[in-house]
Amino acid sequence: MTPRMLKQTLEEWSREVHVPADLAERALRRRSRLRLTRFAGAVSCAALVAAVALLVPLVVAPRFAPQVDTGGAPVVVPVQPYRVQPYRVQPYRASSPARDVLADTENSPPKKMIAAGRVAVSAYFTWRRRAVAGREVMDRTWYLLDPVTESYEKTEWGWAEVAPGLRWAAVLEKDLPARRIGIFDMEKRQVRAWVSVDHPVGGVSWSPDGTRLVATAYDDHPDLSRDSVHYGRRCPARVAATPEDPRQPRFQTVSTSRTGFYVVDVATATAGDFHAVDPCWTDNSNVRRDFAWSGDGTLIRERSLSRWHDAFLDLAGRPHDAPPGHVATESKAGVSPDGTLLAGRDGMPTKVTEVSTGKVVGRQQVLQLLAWADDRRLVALGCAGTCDNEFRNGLVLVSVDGRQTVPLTADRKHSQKPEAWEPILTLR
Amino acid sequence: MDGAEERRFREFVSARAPALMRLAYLLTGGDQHSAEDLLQAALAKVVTRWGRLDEPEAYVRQVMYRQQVSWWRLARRQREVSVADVPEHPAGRGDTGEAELRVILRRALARLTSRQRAVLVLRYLEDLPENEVARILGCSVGTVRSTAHRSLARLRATAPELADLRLSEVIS
Repeated sequence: MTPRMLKQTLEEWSREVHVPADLAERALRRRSRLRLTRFAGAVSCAALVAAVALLVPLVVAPRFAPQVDTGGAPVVVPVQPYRVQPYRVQPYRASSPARDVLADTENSPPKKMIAAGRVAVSAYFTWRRRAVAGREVMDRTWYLLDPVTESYEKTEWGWAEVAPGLRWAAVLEKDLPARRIGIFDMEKRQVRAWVSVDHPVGGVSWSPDGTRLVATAYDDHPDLSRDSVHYGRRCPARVAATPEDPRQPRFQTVSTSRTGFYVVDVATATAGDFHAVDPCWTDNSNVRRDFAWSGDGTLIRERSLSRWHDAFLDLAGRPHDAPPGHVATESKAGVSPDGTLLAGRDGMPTKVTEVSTGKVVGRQQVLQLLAWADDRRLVALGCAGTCDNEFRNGLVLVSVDGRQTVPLTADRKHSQKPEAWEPILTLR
Repeated sequence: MDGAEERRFREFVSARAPALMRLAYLLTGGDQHSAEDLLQAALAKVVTRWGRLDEPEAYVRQVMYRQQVSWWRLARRQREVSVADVPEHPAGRGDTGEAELRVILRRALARLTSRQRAVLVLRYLEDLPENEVARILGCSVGTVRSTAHRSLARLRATAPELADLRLSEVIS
């Protein structure tokens, strides 16, 4: 038995195949079906109700071979509610110490899965600026975790957001905003369903239980540079002039093309009604202004920049009070899983305080506190060496008291320059 | 895709379908229908990117390799892959001619997983170096090596006639 025999055997075997004459035709027919799926989003509401039953087989992909033009029964995406339960807070340290911390300090960007405690880097993107028709756009290249191989895979998506549990991701195609949302199976590496929308969307965010999405709609590319936006709108300033700052403008200009949002039910791959939201609702001057969920999953949230706190809408798009027990946070990490500690604002050293008393319980020599790994440790952005360059940084695991720091990734050479990678942390 | 692009796409498929179908056939373990499905799915992806691909054939091949491996991952959770014929095991290698040995080898190849077969096809039919195999499959070189090793071990386990098959013989 030799390599030659192995090669000959493979060649002989392959010659048994019959080559169909209509392969090109089949592929082109499939493209036509995709067009039909997109068109379905444009039908009227009345027609939509009648059309849903007919279009489901086109919109929802067959379970085992979604890319194949063989038809098949419509399926429901088998999402399971993700519940943040007490045992999830320290499941890895207790039951599987080897799985508690997964690091890749050799590669930047990482190649192997990064995780600590209850969170993992579910995806990362690199970015660069690109000129499109005389306008400047921030272009992202997304890399998604493959939980089976525990490695990161480059993708062609224009946007990606992984659900808690790392089993599903919501994806948008390039050339944002997009007219359909893909429900991507992280293990099988394929889109299991497409959700069509009338108003194109540029960002998606999973509900805390991983069963719904809020999809933010835009009229134009949500990642245009602000200088490239020519439709700025003047909104009444929310903050009144004060004796300390009498120059406070009476109007603020908003640069977003955001129009509103959809709430998507993932199990049935359906988008609900579109809800228009006035861009002047909050004083946020960003071009991309994606909606997110409140911590309890009952409301839609947007960060208001000047007052640096969250504003809330109900699921129909009406302004709403903050949910009970909501704690305003100044960091991405926010409140600890047990609700007792609060991660402080960006800037070294960071600090953690008690929610109930405001007492400082620990300071950390890191730049930003990004996520709670458990009740006593955080995933943070730490800078390299003696921190003479804050933009040369990477992910670390740091204890609340700041005494223990474990590197999770290699350092980025410059986090603010094109081609730098940006990690996305998700509950695992 | 305009009329001219569509024509070029048809020409591409017409010219490369035989080679691509042969590859699909190997990846699916000699299943005609699955091979058609696999290639058709890959071509459907090419259609949506036609005009933006520098090397459409390389893209089709990569999609097929990755798609087949991911479908296999799904299938193995759902059901055991059945093989029509259980290979017969003649008494010893010495009684087996090369032609017969190739038939036995083919049957044994059909019993490999998609990933294992993909690695062997890339490595020994297409003669690609390990790092290139790793790039196409989206895995590490170490995974390629270990998969090749397991593939050959499984071939030997499936057909004792192939007992002389050694990794050192195959990796040149």
